[in-house]
Amino acid sequence: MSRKINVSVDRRGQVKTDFVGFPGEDCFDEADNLLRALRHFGVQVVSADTVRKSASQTEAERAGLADIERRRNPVKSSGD
Amino acid sequence: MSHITTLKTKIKLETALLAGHEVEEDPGWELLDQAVKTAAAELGGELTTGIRDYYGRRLRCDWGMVTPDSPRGVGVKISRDSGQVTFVYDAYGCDERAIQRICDTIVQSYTSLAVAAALRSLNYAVEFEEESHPVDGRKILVRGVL
Repeated sequence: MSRKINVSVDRRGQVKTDFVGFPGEDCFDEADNLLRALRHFGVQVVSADTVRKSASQTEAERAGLADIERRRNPVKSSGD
Repeated sequence: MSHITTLKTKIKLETALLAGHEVEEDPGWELLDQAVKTAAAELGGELTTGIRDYYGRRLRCDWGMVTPDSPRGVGVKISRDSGQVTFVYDAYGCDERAIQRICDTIVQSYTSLAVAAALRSLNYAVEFEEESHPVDGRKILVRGVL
């Protein structure tokens, strides 16, 4: 299943990151990696405010991603 | 589990300095060059190498931009010692909103380019999109897919 990071940058340079499709606590590890990479490219974090998604939100996103992948890569039956 | 994080950020080019190199070799230097050029194109500005103060005196900067709304210009200077990024302008008698718009456009453009570079360094495929909001103004969306 694909993993997505959607980042919105407002006119003051404030950044909102949305991690989609990460199992377990993987999104927090990837968030650390992203912050390190941002620092390398000159963007330093002054403050951060994190909200965990609910289980139902996460499940809905995963179902949505799975559906998109099924449409992109339809499974062919052996009779084709 | 997934999550949403809101980050307040500042721009500081210190990667090269921390490795003992000149700030001009920083990975952010080229991004800043690109961000100023992008902002100038968006605002109908002209790139310069300095600005002028109220009395017409010229001050050199690493990047400068003049626009029809801000004819004295707004400059960007990078500290050779710390990598600190500073906007330079003489706001006396000027349209301060026009100056702020230039600064904001450069910051937004730089931050978006840096986010894209950061995502690519983590092997994500990156797409850009823009969204305008009546109150919050323009937002740049950077999508990374792995």
